[in-house]
Amino acid sequence: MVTTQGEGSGNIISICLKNSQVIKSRIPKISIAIEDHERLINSNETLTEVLLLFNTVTDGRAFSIAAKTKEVNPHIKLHAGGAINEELCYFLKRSGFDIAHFERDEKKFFLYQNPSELYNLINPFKSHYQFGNDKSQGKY
Amino acid sequence: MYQPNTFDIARLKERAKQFKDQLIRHKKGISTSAEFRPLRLQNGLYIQRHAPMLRIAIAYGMLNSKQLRKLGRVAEKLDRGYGHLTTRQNMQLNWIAVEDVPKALDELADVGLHGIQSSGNCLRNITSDAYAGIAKDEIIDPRPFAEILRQWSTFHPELSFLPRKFKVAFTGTREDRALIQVHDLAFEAITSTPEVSFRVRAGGGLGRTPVLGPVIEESLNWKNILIFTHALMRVYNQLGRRDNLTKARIKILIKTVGIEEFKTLLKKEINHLKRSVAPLSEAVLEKVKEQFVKESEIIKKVKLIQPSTSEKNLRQQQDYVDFENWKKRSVVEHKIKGINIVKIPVKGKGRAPGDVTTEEMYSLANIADKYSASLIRVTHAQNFILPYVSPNQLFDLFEELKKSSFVAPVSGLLTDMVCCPGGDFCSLANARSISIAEEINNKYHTLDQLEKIGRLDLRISGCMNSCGHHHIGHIGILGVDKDGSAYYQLLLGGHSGENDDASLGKIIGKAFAENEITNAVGHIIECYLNNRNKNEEFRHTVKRLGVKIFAEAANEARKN
Repeated sequence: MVTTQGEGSGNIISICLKNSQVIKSRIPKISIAIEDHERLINSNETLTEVLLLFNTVTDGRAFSIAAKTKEVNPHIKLHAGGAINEELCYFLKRSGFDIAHFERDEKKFFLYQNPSELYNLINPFKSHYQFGNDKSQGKY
Repeated sequence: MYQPNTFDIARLKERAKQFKDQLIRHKKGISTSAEFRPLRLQNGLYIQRHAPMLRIAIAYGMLNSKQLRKLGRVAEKLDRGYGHLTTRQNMQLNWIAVEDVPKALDELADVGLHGIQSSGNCLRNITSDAYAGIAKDEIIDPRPFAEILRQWSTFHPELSFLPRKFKVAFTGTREDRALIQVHDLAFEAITSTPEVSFRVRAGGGLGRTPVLGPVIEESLNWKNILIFTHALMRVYNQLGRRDNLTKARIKILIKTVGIEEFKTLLKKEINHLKRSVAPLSEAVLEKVKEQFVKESEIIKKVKLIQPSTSEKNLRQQQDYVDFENWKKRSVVEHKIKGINIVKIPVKGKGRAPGDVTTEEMYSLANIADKYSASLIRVTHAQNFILPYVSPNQLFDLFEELKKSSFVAPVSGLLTDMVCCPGGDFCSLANARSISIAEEINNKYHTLDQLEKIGRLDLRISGCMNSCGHHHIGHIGILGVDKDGSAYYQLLLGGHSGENDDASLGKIIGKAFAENEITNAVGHIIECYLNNRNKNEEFRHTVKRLGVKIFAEAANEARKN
């Protein structure tokens, strides 16, 4: 589980959600727990890059936090870490997360080494019903 | 009904492929069982007591014959030849193999059906009054608004991992035929002029803590439906409990913070969203409305069919007496003069309430084609209706329904009961419910008995999750576990909201053993028959006399 700041280490896989590629990425110095999310939305701090930590894979609060953060600060770079799983990438991306960090797992290498597989996982739909916080268009 | 266009079908096909890929990846170790669970639930796939179960969403209960045939085909080829209609207007297949689910979803996608968000902690299948668009007392047709909300919430990235399930209902009438008072969020049309507006309730629900949803907005302009819903769900997503499954519904949140504070939080979120989200436009609404089958085309089709039998020739025959009885209970006045609604109870002896075989699905699809412009609907009470039938075809229709055993004129009577799958299928259940339904069906199987009792809404749930809606039955039965054995609690005083305010039933005494409960119900009915005023319905007698006399009557069934 990715929880601490620092250089992207050999134990972490970082995925750029915008272009669906594995990248080398620094984990932001500022990491924020879900419970402290007001700091992201109401703060006067000029936050440019933060890591938002998921408590569990089913805790959906971070998606709303990300969406709301991007609504007030569209230029902030949001990183997702904590208890996340690659299957959440679609939700992460469209909620407004820019980069997701996962613990390296050799069972998942086939995914990281296969760009089209990774792309399809992150972008299963060609079009959407609703606008996304990743600037993806939709009917509503 | 809404006709899915190429955009909709393409999304469904993509979704079916996505689930197929998710299943493959799960098997390769990308996701653990715990991580895969929400993904399969968001496609309607449960792992149940004996086998996986697939819940197929039927958007606000609307089907066409093509879809019904496809449901029949999927049930025939990939399941055990039948489907179960649920109290949220879905259909469940109880024996499908996990490996067959991607294929089922892909096939269903061809006709605009799916399992999307029919389970999981997300916005579930949106339901409505089964008479939506055809009800005589309708203020507006709520379906286009339900469809807009359905589309907007589909694959919504922000709202797919809520604290718990989230159920939404729409109604276009004053009378509550959509159970709006027991939904997490419900929209009740109040006016169509100058613009369509809804009264909004939130925090209703059954289960462990039944609550009739309070009004949180007296008048919401239709253009703000999405902003309002988004704001409300965001507040819920943020503040709903995640530490205790039994305390995670929005009704608990509203109760905890208080309704005024909840409204304040909601208003704050609405104001925030308004900065970046525009209200719905007339253009968007018109575009959705255009996708609904035009009523003028339906009427034209229905009125063209000529009857093959003349009723006048049959007046002397027994068939005609049966036909008249059937008409009395099964034919309902329509919004349009010269058209009828026909109720088709999926109930009766030898049938688990709401269960329909593939042969019956094919047969009903043919009947819908012939008599109802290919349209058919699923109700909250686990029945079908044909929404557009010409009066001069009623006898021919009756004769055809007879062949499929769908003419029992039991609508609204005791054996038109609502019943969840219970312990025979559901891993959550404490007790069997279908067997109790069957016992009651066997005890009260003649029309004379049922007509004598009159209108009585019996609802049976196998556990506290109350999928059988036992709280709002005139008689409710709840299966409980007592020292490892199945027992049944009896509730009286409930009501769904049709023609009157909804009310929640109260438990009337200690639970009954499995071999006592049917007789307990029998004694209650006997007590009613002995004490009612002329033409007084069961629930009114209970209200007048109080439950004590009925509890004492029920106790006569106790063997110890």
